[in-house]
Amino acid sequence: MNDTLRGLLGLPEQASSVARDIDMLHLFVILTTLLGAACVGLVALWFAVRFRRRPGDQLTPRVQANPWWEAGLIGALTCLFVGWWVIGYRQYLHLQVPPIGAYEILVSAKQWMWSFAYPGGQRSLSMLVVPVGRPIKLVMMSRDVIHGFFVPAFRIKHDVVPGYVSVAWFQAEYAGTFQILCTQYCGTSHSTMRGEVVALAPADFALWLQGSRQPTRAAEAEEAAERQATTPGGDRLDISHLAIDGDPIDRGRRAAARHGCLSCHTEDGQRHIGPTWRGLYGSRVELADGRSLIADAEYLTRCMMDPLGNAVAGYQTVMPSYRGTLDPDDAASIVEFIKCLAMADAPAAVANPSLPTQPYRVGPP
Amino acid sequence: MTPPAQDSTAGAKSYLVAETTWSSWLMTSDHKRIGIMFLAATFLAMLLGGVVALILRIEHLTPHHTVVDAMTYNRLFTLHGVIMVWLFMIPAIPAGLGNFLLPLMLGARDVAFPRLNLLSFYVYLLGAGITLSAMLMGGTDTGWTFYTPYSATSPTAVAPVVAGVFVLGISSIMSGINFIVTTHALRPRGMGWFDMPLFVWGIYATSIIQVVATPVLGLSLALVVLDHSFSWGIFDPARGGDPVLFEHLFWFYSHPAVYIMILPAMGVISEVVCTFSRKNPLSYKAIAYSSLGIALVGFLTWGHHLFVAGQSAYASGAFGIISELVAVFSAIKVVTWLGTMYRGSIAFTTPMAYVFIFLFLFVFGGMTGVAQAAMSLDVHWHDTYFIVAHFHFIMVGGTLTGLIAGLHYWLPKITGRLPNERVGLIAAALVLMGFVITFVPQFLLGNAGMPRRYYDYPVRFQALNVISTVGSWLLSSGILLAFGSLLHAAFRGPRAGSNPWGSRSFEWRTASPPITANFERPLDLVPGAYDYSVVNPHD
Repeated sequence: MNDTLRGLLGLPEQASSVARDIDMLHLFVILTTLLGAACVGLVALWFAVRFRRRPGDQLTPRVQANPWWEAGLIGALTCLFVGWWVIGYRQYLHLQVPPIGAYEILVSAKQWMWSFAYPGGQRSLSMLVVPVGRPIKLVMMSRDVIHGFFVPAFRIKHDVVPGYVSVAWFQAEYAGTFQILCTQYCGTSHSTMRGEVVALAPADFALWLQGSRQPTRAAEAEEAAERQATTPGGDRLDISHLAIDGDPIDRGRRAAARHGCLSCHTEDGQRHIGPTWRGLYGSRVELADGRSLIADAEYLTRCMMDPLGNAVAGYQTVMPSYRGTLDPDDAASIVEFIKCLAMADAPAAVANPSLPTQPYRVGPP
Repeated sequence: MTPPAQDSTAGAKSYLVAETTWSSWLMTSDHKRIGIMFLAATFLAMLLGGVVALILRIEHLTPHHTVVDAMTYNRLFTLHGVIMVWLFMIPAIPAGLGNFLLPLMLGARDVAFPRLNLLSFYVYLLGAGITLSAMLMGGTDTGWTFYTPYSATSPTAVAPVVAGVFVLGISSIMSGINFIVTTHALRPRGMGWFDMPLFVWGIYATSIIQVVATPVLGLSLALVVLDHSFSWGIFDPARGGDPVLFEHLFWFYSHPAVYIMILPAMGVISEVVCTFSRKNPLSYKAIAYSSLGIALVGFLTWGHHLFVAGQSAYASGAFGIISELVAVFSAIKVVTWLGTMYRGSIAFTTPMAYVFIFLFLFVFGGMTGVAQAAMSLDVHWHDTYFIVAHFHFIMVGGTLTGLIAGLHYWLPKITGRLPNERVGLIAAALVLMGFVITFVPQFLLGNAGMPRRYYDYPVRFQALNVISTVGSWLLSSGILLAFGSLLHAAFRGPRAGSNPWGSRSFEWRTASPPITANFERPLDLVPGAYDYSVVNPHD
């Protein structure tokens, strides 16, 4: 039933944890819509035949709607529509709020490619490699104009707006390759700004992480050359910023120094003008506005873009906004650097990201 | 207003032949002539926009390059959107048919500000000229939505296109003010708000939106020009600006703007249903109030365009539920039109055929809109071909069929000649078939995940794209046949009497075509505009 209707409606495979529920609502809504349009059309045709004009038919009786009927109709329609909204909004909230403990990947969008940075410092271009069965949280930034991150098989989509930190999440249900499409018009090659999500079994993912842990300059150059050859208009793509100069942590430290972060934030745990970065990542922070949250990659990135709205309690709000001046790659490497400063205290926990124990499937159900 | 004196106009010629020089048309302040000039200009705009649409569809016959390159494609879809929205849809029914009919339906001699009316037409021409001149500079590729920061950095001719749209907005505001004042001030003694023909309610509600929302569009577009030409950075994050602010401002106008496009068509449907069913509307007040309801509540729904842009989930929720409610008003109208046919005396004429097409397409298209307000579904559909299909169901399946219905219905009023029924019905069948074949595949493409504004698409989408393109040929031949037959009838059709359809509506209580002063005698308000239960003494 599910598969037949999905096929009729042209919906892609249901590869994420939310796809099946969203498709159920989709079926309900579209069937009601078809039924409604068909009913209205048929009743109109029936009336056109039943009450067709006959010769001498000049006058008609005056018919007025019964107010109770009107009220009942309005009430019924409102209930139907609000019912759709209630189901849809619950699912929407579920999509908007990433589960705690999700695996965080930084996404950087530019005209016209996607790049991804993993917690261990690994990077990939146009190919997002994720473990099956584990929630993946995407912390997304754009270097230029608005892009849209869309994976039809996962039923997720989020705009990536420059100057903002955009967050989306998903959980792949089985291993496979799923297309990423850009949905916000971003210039000449908008339609070829594509990529793919490669979902791997947890063990394979761990192997992949190890294999790409220390990308050598030679491997980077090879990948770059390949990409130049296969991407349309590749001769105009600037990928120099994606080459990793030495250690990603060094890169983060240098970016932090260049942007003046280290004049207020210390690396050794001492309180200065701003909170220290040692042990900050993963710790609970109390904010000036009363919120209390775990300092994750999303929070740290938001702080850089909107320090006033995310200030930690007990500190003066003197930090300027880096919106527009800090490009996503620098932001990502600074976050990596801050993570490493937390690792210094508990190296094992972060160096080997714990992989899920939930069961997973290979191939479509 | 003073009713026209009986003796001064007795035996006067129709407005078409009273004066025949070029300047008597170009410098006229007669709302009927201005309405016809608007209809002609918007018709040309529709032809241009339609040709562009056909090129876009032909390009999609293959997944990669077919006839144009990527940059040309991007400029063409922008051109198609800008022309169809601002040069065709927004002015066509209100400034064209509305201009012609509003004073006639109110028994007035003209609109409240006849010279402002003419100015509005020339400002429209100026705006159209500026917008289309941008084509000579290579056009622009931002899409009709002009999203920043792309529009602020696009190397194409953004500034002239945006400036043209700004000027078109001024024309739209002028028409809106004129129609609001006309409705308030020029009703004859004895005609209350609920005695007016329902088309007037549609135009009145539209005018409110035009006057209130269009300045916001003008403001935000002016800022885009400053961003683009002088690097002000209002919406550019690299300069401390906020791109999402533009989305809010843009949709604050552009969502109500879709009601500017559909409300007048709904007004046409109300008139046609009553006339050809010879029935009073099942509930006059339900139709009248729902027009106002759509106009007012429609202002509070713009945020449903930002469900995946990153606005607060609570704001999204509020916009979602309000969007569900605005659909209830449209549903009330649909049910009332259906109920109007009940126990009527229904003549299956060309305008009525378009009403049936409208009902089916509008209900389906409208409910796919309600479906998007069930928010998790919008996450999947947002910016895909599903959205493209949805709004074409409303704009083409709703507004365009409403316009064609209205043109067939009022052709005798405007020209004194009858349209050809047989050709009209064939064209209607072609339009329905072509429309369904063009746009139903686009719903499926959107479900499958094909994003809009895609020059190059994955090969798996090709079959549906080819079907859609073939449909577009049927649809355009149907539209051409309908307009061709109307044009032919306007000059060569058989003469109609003053009231060929036997309508009770007020605009038919004078000669067809009317004299320049509209009425030879003050409008007689008895029987009412929809009273088909008594014999009409005017027949």
